[in-house]
Amino acid sequence: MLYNKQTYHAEKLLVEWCRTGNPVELNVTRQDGLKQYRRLFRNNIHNTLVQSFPIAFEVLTEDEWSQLIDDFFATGKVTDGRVWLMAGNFYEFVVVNEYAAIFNKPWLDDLLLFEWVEIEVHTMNDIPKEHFLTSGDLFNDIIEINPEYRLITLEYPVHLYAAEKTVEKKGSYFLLVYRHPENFKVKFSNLHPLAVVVFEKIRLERKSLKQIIDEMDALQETPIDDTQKLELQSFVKQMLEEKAFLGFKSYYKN
Amino acid sequence: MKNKAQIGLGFRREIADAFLDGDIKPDFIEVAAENWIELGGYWGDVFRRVNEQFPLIVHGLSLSIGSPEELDFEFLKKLKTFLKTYHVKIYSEHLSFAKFENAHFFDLLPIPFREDSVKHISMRIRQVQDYLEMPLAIENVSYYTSVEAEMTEQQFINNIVEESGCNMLLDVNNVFVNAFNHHYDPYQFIDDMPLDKVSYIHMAGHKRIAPDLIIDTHGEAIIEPVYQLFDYTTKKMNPVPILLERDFNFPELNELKTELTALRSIVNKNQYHHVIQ
Ligand SMILES: [Fe+2]
Repeated sequence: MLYNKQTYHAEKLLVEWCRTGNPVELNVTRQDGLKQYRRLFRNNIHNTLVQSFPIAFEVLTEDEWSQLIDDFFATGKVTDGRVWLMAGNFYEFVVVNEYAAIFNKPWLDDLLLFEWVEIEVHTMNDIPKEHFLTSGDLFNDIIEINPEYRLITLEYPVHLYAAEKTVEKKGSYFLLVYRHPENFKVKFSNLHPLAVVVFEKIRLERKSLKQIIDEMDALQETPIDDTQKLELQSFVKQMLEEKAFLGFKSYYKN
Repeated sequence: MKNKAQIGLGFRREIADAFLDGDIKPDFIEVAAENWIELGGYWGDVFRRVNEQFPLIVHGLSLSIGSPEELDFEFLKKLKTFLKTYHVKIYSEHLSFAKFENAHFFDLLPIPFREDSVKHISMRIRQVQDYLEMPLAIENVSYYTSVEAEMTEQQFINNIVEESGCNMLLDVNNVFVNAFNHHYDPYQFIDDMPLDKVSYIHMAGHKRIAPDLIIDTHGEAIIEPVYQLFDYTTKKMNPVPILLERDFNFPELNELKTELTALRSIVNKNQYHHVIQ
């Protein structure tokens, strides 16, 4: 760095003023101009986050929202120059600083995660897709999944009910968030725990539904009954229709 | 077409369809790299399509040439790939800082106009140019106060351009805004600029929020005095591409077209011809 101490310090104080509004000793030509920077800077953060978290903005009180913005502005850190990624930093900031407890809104972290993941999936870089066939046997063939997704776990089902109503429905919810490969829309699927296991096995082990079910059957603790088998088949069918699964591999893998 | 003035328009999502559907046809488009780098899905697809139709000039928001910390080479690597992928010939950034200790603010803060700042920034500009293997055009920004200044803005810009060997993006509206806010003569300011190093011009609207304070918003139409200053500037210069910046508060397309036409007719009147190489 070729700045001398005074120049470095001037920038530091300018940033400090913007972030906190606490008066700083800075030699400026326009005090009113200095104030503009704090206003413009805060507006950028506020506007970006309102756009990113429309539901949270709606359900939090005005004071709560202002506190989050002010605190994030003063002490949070946006780590990337791509403005849409600010939402991810904000989500982490709220979790780490335990605002859900402070506001007594236990669903807050899940709500922010839900809204952030939508942005993340909507904007994520295109992921090269394996070659796949559009027709096949959904029981015996290996499924090719759509790689543009996130699978998240929620304690409060903010994807199913209004946030305030989720307190009494606390549990374990699995939400698959994926991007349609043709129209690029972000879609959400609430997954049954058994479907999550199958999804993970398809993704990681690249096995057919039949192989997966046979293996699960072989484990005494988790035998799969016929109803469940039918349910899993219809899960795979539905995922294929909705393009969370792209299609089928063109060969069997042993 | 040869010897045709190059008048471009900022490509923004709010008006993306107008570009894609051929409802508006500037000679080139400008985007901020950070809004499109490694962006997939719907907007990634839109971006690829619009790039097939228009030459691209790239502006920057997050390089933060005036930050004290090291340059972000991870970002520069992505940027270089982006610039190469889309065959970009002009890349510009603001003469300001938008990040401190690696926290981004998405706002352009004024760098102290000082001797050591000139050295620091010139070094960083050279690092960027060396890394990207292309010139950087540095833009004069609007500022609402100067901070711990030891020299004028004119001296600051000239010294940096000279010491770093960079090009300049001359934002004529910013000259007007600063001249108004800091009480100097915008025409004299233009005379003082290193016009032979200007590779690109920005034109935009602004907003007067107090009797003695203008904010550079990019959300209004260009006002007549700024057209006059532009006229004066382009008479004195070699031909370079001209961009109409409009970032929000978008009007009817016809209004944007009228502005593009107004810019073109001034340039043509001044026999100001340029082709993007
Ligand atoms: Fe500009």
